[in-house]
Amino acid sequence: MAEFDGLDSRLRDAFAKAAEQGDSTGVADAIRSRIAAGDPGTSVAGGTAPGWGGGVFGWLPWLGLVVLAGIGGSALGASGVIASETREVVAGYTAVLDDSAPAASCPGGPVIGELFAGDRVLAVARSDDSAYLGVRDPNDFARTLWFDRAVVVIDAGQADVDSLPVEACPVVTVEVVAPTPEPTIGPIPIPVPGPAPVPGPSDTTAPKINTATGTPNPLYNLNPLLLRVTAGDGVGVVGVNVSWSGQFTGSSEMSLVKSEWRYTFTPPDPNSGDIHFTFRARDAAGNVSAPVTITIDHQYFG
Amino acid sequence: MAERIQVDLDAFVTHEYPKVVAAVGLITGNRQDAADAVQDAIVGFLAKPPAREITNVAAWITVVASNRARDLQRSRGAESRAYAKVGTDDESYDSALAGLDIDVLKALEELPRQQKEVCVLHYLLDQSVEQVAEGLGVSTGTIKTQLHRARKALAARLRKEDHHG
Repeated sequence: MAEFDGLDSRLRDAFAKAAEQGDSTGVADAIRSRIAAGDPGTSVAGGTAPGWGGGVFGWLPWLGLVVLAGIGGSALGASGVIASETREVVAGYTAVLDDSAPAASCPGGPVIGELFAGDRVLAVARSDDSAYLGVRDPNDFARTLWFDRAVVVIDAGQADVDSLPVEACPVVTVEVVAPTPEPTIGPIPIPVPGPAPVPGPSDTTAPKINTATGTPNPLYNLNPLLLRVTAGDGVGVVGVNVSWSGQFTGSSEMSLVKSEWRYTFTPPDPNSGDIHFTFRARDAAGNVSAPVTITIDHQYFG
Repeated sequence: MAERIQVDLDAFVTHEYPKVVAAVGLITGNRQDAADAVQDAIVGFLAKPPAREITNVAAWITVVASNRARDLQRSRGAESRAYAKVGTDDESYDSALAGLDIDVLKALEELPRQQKEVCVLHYLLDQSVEQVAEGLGVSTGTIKTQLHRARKALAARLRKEDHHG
């Protein structure tokens, strides 16, 4: 177009002259040292570059604000923003976990999962004595996970956590029911044997592994790896076994968390190389799924 | 299945890092923090890789680091922003300006953030529309739109500057 004649070359020249190139000397070693020290750096959740998410909240970092469903309600999108007509915005405090820690369902309550050192979270509630903080589950934004206050490091420049709303574990009310009088027992009938029951069809269909992931990949140094599997079966999956080979060998049973099978693997030795994880799901009848294998690249920088 | 996100750290630092630092300096006007911001972004990329496999890592790092550089600048306060742009004294400021197309740089500074990022990725890092789209995780249509708007705004602004002499 005439309006752009010469513009491209002028821009290229101008940018090239103004650009101050960085000095790469020692940078790779410095980065390796930081990773080995557990430095989380600056990371971004999701697969879209920050500020390019689009929509009403496109420019807002998703960890900075939480959008909850209104009365109509609808499912959370991957970015944490609901595509719903009714919405209210609840502010929280951005934070990072100082250490891997178990996550409870309420302050001091039963453990329902875990998050890892360096995980970025949004603190949205506290216990009455502020000994516990509630954070949005990065994997399930509708759920709150509770951690010991000591492992949640609030980002600088934000208000004190004492301004967060207080939540407590739900109180379970036990209702005592008056015992009902014993029924009068009449004569015990003698059963007459009927025709032999026809055995129903036995379950011969094996379960199927639907998804299998391991994060992070590559796995650096001796950081923990979270393995997650979903599996389906006509009757029901009763267990999933994971075995590993390659750089390390071993096996274990996975744990069911909501509808997902999970196992946390921590490399036992500082050796670099591929680790192959094979998953097999089984049902109550003993049918075993076809194995599914994923490969994780373990890199130890030292 | 889990996808593998491979980054050869040494190769990236040798071949891409210098230009990415330059790009962040140009996008944010903050040369002082550009190198630190890029290193923070690389550490973050390796420590917690993004949710999808990325081929154009340079573009991803450039945008993440630009955000980080802006945060660093904000945390230092307004009075240090001018120093962050070019040198810290009159002599280095003047020498830094010599030979530069100031009109282009001023026009770039006035662009909205997304247009600035696309311009620098396209004209300084020499990335195609498809490469930029892949790196940022958006459609090529989005990049084409931002690039077209940027060129239109820059062309109009530079025509005005050229007329005023």
